[in-house]
Amino acid sequence: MTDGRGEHSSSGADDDQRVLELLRQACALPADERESFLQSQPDGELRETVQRLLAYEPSADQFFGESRVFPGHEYLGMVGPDSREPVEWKGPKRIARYEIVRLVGRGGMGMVFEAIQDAPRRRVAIKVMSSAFPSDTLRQRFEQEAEALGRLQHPGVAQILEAGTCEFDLGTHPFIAMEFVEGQPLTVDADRRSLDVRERIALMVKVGEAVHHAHQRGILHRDLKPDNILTDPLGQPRVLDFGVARLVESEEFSPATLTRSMEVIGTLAYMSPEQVTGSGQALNEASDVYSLGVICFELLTGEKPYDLHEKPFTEACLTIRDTEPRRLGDINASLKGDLQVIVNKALEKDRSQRYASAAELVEDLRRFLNDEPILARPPSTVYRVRKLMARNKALLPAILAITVAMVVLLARPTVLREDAVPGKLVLADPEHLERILEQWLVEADVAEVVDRVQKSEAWTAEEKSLALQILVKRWAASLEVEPADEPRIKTPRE
Amino acid sequence: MPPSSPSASEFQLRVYQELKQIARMLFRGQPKNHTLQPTALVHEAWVRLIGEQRLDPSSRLRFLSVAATAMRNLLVDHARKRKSKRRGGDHQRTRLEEVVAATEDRIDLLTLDESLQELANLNSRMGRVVELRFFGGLTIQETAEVLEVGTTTVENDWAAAKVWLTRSMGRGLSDD
Repeated sequence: MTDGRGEHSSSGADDDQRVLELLRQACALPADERESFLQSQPDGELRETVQRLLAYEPSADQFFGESRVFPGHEYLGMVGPDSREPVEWKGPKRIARYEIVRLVGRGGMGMVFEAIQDAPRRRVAIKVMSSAFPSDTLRQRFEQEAEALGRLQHPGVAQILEAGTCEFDLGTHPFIAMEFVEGQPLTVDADRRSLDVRERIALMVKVGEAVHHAHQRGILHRDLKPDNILTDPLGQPRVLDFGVARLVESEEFSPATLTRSMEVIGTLAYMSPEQVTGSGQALNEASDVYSLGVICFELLTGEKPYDLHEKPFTEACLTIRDTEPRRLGDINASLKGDLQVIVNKALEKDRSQRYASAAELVEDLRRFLNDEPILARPPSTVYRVRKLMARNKALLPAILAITVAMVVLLARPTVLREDAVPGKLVLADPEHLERILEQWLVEADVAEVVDRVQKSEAWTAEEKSLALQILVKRWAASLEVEPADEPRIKTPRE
Repeated sequence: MPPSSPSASEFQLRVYQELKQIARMLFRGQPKNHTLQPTALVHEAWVRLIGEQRLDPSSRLRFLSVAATAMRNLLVDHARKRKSKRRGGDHQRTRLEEVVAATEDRIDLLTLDESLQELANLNSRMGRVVELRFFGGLTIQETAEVLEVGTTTVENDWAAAKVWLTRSMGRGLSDD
């Protein structure tokens, strides 16, 4: 603040205007031409003022740099949900060795053209990215990654043919040429052909296989959605844009979260919690598995697991991050059971709880088709209680009390049978029971002990009830007072 | 059915109302969001309006040019309130407050507003360029279209205005 505003305001508004105009002229010049330009100014005082001002340029860029948010849209313009509207293409007629036939679509990432390759003569889709290359390093990376994508060959994946750059009005833009797939989006096609549940699952199996094939080669899709999966006339789903999202995703490439927020709005529903919250977690196979879960949900019900309708962007992100997804059975009761378990496993918020690979998801879908038992299990009581606990510590005693109540109720019918079990453990008194619990609590956390009590075949319903009451009391007490050096009850993990 | 084209003042009023409504939502909204740029709020409003078909997509530039001003007022008002209140520690910040705070990590909004006003007095177009770019997130190209001037003009205005404002806000060399 030391060399503040006084130095120019003292000279009056007219002078300020002259300073500003000269500054503007100087700024318009390349850095190495400024000095000679300023030296040619007759007014020495004015010149010096501008020179002092120019010294602020680096910090000015720093302060205002962030407002330059749409680097890639200078040429293409911002694209709204109207991007499917047919637009007459008035730009260049050729891109590299491809002759443009028509503009197929526009999106935040760029434009897609149908084109004809010169030799061999074939139809291709050309995707021109809206971002021009800011640096040679990025261009190289783009070309390397595109080459890797080109090696990806699978009947379920639209083949990438070439990546390169083309000159458009405002600079050099990356483009990708890929096989032109004739077809309808997965969900649209399934509805049009009125496929039944099993036929739809069979489609998901094919999609999952294609995705797994790519995963095995270290390529994530990152943007799976029905619009990116076209079912060709032979009924084979073809996944488009494999790994393409990655090509344009980098700090330097699209620095603005904001730009992304515009682009992703349509595809948000298919993004995993780790993806929408930008938690900094690198995406992995399980992130694609999540998207497959959403697609499967939509394919079976026509709806999405979350109601994001009319929600602004950020709210929609939080919904995906924080709320439980709907279940298939909530929408169509006939879909309860295994399918619901499978889809919900794919949709788990905690990705370690999802299928670890697309292949595992495919395996369970196949088992469903073959009427074999699936591998996924509904989340265990332990897991569910722990999730509840993690979500709301203040409610812990209440949650446990409810769990206890449920356990007691559920346990009752089996008690009669247990009574007949010979040699069952007879627990003398509450103190004895407490000692046993204490022992268990050394080995496991409360949720697991609750589960163990619940599952115990040796205990009577009465004993179970008593045991769980003890646990609740202990737990409540442990919440009020920080556990001492030797906690009698382990508090749940964060 | 395409939405009818409203008159300029009607349009402006609608945008202001909409931003106010969105601001209300943001006041309730959750803090700790990763989009903390003022321009993100403007675009969120746009996305919502388009999604609800309350505005014609072709009116985007008109929307942004009005919204940039509205966002400036909104943020500056809020920064002013924030200064006069200085609330206690456990106060949970709303999203708008987070945006104000995040912006003020870089630039003092009230000083910027003041300096911007001074700049606009000297050269109104430069003032407008900054408003559109900084508060509205418009590109050079878009700014040029809104102001009906060439892109070079906008580029030069923007480059000079940034330097001018940085000095006049007393930030930069001596502070760093």
